[in-house]
Amino acid sequence: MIKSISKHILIFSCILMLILSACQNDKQEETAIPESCTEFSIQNFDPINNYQRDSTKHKSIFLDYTNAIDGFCIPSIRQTENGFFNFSFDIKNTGKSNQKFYYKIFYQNESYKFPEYDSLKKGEHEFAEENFYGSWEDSTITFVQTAEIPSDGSFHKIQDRIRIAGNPRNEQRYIQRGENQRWQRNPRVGNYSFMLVVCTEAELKNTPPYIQNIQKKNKEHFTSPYYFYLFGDGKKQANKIATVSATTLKVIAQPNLGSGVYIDEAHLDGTDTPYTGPVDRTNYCATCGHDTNLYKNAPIQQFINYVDASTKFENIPVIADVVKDNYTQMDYNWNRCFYKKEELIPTIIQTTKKPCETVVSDPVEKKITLRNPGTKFGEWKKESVGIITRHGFTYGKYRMKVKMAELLSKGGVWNGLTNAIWLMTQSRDSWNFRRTCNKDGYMKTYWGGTNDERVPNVGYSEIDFEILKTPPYCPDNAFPPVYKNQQANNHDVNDWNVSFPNEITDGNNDQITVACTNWDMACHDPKNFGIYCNEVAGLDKTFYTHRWDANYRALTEKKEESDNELFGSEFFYFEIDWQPTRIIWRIGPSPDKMRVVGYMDDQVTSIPNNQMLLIFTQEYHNTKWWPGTPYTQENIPFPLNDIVGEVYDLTIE
Amino acid sequence: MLHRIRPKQRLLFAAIAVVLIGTGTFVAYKIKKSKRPMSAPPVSTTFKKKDFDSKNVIFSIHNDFETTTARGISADKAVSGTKSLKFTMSNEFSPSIVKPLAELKNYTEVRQIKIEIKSWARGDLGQAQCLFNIENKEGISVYKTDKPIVPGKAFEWGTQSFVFDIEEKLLSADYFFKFQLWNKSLREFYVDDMEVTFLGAAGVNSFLRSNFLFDFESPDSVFNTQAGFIKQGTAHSGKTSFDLSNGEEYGPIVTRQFGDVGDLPSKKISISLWVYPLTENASVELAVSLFDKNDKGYFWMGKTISAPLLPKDQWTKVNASIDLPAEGPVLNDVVQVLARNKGKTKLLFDDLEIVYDPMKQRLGNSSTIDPNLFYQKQFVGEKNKPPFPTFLLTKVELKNNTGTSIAPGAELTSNDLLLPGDFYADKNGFDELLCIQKGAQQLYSYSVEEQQFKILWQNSNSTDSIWNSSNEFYSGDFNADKKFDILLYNPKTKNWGLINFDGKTWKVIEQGNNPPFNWIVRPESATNEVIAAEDILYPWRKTNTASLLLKLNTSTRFDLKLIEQTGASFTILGNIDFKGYSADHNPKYYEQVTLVSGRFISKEKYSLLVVACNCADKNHKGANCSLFEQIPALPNSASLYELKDE
Repeated sequence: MIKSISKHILIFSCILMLILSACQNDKQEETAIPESCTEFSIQNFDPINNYQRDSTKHKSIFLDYTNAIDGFCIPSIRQTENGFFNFSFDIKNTGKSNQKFYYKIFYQNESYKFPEYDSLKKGEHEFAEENFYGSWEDSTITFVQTAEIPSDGSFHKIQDRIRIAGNPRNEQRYIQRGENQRWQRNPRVGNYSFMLVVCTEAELKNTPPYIQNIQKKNKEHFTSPYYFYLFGDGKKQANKIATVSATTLKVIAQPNLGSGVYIDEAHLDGTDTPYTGPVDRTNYCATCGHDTNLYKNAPIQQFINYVDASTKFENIPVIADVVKDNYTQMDYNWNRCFYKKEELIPTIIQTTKKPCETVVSDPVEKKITLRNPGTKFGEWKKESVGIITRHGFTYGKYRMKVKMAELLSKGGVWNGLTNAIWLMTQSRDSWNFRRTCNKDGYMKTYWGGTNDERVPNVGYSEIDFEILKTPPYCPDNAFPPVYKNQQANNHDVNDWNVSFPNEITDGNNDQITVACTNWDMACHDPKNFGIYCNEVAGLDKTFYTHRWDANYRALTEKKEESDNELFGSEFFYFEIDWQPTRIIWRIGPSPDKMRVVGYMDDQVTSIPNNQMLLIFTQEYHNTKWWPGTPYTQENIPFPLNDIVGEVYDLTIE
Repeated sequence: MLHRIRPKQRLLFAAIAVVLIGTGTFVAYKIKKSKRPMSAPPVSTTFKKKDFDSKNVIFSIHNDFETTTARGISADKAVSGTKSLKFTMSNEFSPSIVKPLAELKNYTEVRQIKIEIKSWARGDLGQAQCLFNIENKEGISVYKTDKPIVPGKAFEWGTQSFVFDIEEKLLSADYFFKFQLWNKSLREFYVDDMEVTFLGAAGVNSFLRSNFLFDFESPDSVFNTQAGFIKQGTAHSGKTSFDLSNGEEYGPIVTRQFGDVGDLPSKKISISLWVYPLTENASVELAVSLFDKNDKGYFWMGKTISAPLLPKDQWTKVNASIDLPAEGPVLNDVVQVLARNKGKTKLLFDDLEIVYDPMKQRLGNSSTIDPNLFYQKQFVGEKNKPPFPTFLLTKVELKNNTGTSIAPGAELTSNDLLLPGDFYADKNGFDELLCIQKGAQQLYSYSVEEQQFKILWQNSNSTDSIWNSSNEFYSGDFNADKKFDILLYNPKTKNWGLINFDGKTWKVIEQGNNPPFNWIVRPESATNEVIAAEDILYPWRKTNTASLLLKLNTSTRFDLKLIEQTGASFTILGNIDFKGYSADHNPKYYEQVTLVSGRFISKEKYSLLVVACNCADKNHKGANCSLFEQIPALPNSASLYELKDE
């Protein structure tokens, strides 16, 4: 992040130098020193004069989740007296006669953007149009005309207002059934800049329509006004001043986890098809359910995993608390070895049949508690549990303070759960398509096989933390681990009680695997797209990525960590830092002690640029998904007791 | 929206990952005829082979089409004799080969069917198939599968084998096995010398070693011809390693027949090896080659690991896992595992581990329970069919109970004969425990006040005629005098005697020849759908209408069940497991366990004394251990358990 900020400072410095040297009429800092061009001067541009008046130029605001399901407004009506940021500037007519001037204010998210200027191409960066910038929500308001400013040698104050909202370009892509679905392109979190552009009437006529009205495109593409005025043709205009305020606004999302959990009754079976079966509402309450208030205000929804019938397996008929009862490898070996087929329990990984039963939002402690329910004879089940946010974002540093379930017994046996914190596409509909994959397209579906059709655009994206017991795949000299055969000979302990290879135990039974994955849908565009094990350098380290083959949709890195540290402590932090050109996975005991466990960049994987939601799950996987796993799901007991996880905080910034 | 699924492809890749992963490359060849690829590592199979298949063949059928009168018999060409079976546009099916399983004496031992045919074709056979169908006596198919017929070289006779693994649930005397060839695409081709072989699980009860670790520390006949490479010096473990510091290409080569390592051919072979490069740019290949009975190589595959993954002057572990061809391997085939110094640099190998994996399935038949019943809370167990609930016996804390000792100076072993009964009229109504060891006997009673067993009587006179080792001993009230007796019975002479304990010694109170028939009940005389001949029953509790018993079966594992007897009807109530033991020393994990139930610590309630030991005997079968073994992770023990909250 420090690098990122440095980069932005560098960009601003460059901009400043260019402006000063070339035109002398564009400056970054508002100051009493006026900025001038032939016909006028301006000074004292203040983009936010009605919020945090006493604070420095670096203001911050938390997103207001009240009634925000249709999209965020920054500020909301509860954050300023009028629900807008008031801005102002002083203008002096230095021309020979009285005249009217024209102004327009732009904002842009600076934390998660592509640079406007591509120094190699010597033009606008090809992805700069993806940056989140905007102006007044009504894009038909182009430049606003001032009252007639007398040529009296004095400054005259201009006052107006602006707010940041979703779909600021009013793009058709996000308009459905005649309604602007601003939530489909929510404002990004992070730092915002504000740019004021003032010009004469003659210069306005020289301003292209796609800059006056940012809804319009220039040859099928949007042009960033930041590029136009700071690097492009607008920079050459003699009678305009484009000034970027030194005042910035940091936008942070921190949903109140005590505000309730919404139940989407239309998706209770986790599929896309509307659910029409019966709904058990016996556990509905004021903080969990389906009512209007929760629909409008709950930031979280219960997540129902989709369970594929192929996950059916035959489980050993054992009910035990692997972690608390200190289930040992000998227990695992015996139970794995000696049961006959007819004694096994055919099972499919389950999801809740009673919404709100296993997920509780606590308004007092502002936390969410989840539990994988324990099981008993005759009701065997391995039931996943999860929550998902309801407000999508593109990019952001997602940091969760959680207490997730411990996964290993003291003897190092895994309880079969995968603790997951992950981002997933908010929708696979076309409004949420990823950037076009140019080379040969994305794999069309995320569930299909290797012969799936390739298409230029898909809506699927996923970035994962998945924490479970599985071996690293890279480097490839040690994979797959060599597991000894068991012989079902009850008269020789050594025949059935086989030891694991040293790379699994490694003298330490506490190691759990943190798997970091980006689902790039096998887009071959990245310059260093690779298969099998490959190195990627970043943050002064070398990371090993792994992909099964050229059509495999996900790229994974793995790191061994202590189960006790991650899940045995009171809480722990997990962070997915999703940036336009890279993804960084961090974990740590506190926000100031985070360490990197995964890193990928756009040279090795296609970084998603669509809107995603954050999910927290404690889920059971079929271990066939994880080759080389020492403990297979069907040989791990059904859970005896509830397995509890808690989410204390989610901050996206 | 908002759902979680893993692509099916991940499953697919899970299956193939083991052979495709890594920058280390896998190379696979199916070797045709005697040709070998240029860099193929098959080396040599010249060693004396055993004939596993002949021991393993339960039945075989051969059809050379010489005397068959079916449609399509042709004299155009043949491998053996003058005739073969000709498939044409108008001849779609071969005659069926049908075998009723009831005709096979050992049909329950069938584990694999191998069909071999010779075929001749001008080109592609389209979707021609070898069909295998199992029908019940009503002619209804209970299982069907097929495998594609792939032509060999055009205009030449070639051999193809189809192997079908047979699940035990398909081995019913009512079933008929049917085999047929189907010219599905109506092409023209010839088939001759069709052979169907029913292969059994040779040596199914002998546990063959399939995990091997070669640490090169002591001479091993496997490396007789390579002994010169095994040298002292730098080693990963011990003092010796396999020394290729001269740049020699071939490292350790382990050659075996599949029959040496399993009762079925392996389906996967996993290899690991520690490598110590003495120079830069090392490159190592772990490979597997297969040869048929004529030493003809027909498959090899290798995984190569190279620098920088093999840094100089340090030990690095390399692993490989190689899936063998699904068709073909039989027990007589030779499998060769080798480590190759592909880069011909200077290096050392150590601790070669090989796992031959037949990927065996569990015993038994799949459960037919619908999992939805669990989720709908509608599951109702079927009488005497699994799954059963589990009842947990809790360990009773006894003073002076350490290891296999239940009282000071009272060491028990699982060889001991332990007989419970209220032998001593001490009026507390508790059972005593008579322990009969070779040359020594003790009688223990439990003291409620002291919470421990105490020795009530002991005898170490090995010449004492009562405790003669040729006698069998039983406890019970045989003469209906409301006192517990010990019945002595000599099965050779059929002499018997009843003895009672008078507080000081045992006295003979009755004796004779040929005891009443109901005194000694042999388990096999009481077998039914719940009780097998090898089961041992222990009294547990009586209700007004039924008796509860514990039933132990150790034929495949320690399997203790609680059963209820009502008249002649037996019902399995559940599995018995244990809790309260230290660490993970569950009695059911031991190699030899002796149980005895009695009212040792309560007048009404039974408890279970468990003596659990491990045995160092080679080929130990669960009884009469001659040398007990103390495994640190599983120390021998004697403990008392009770069922709480009965």
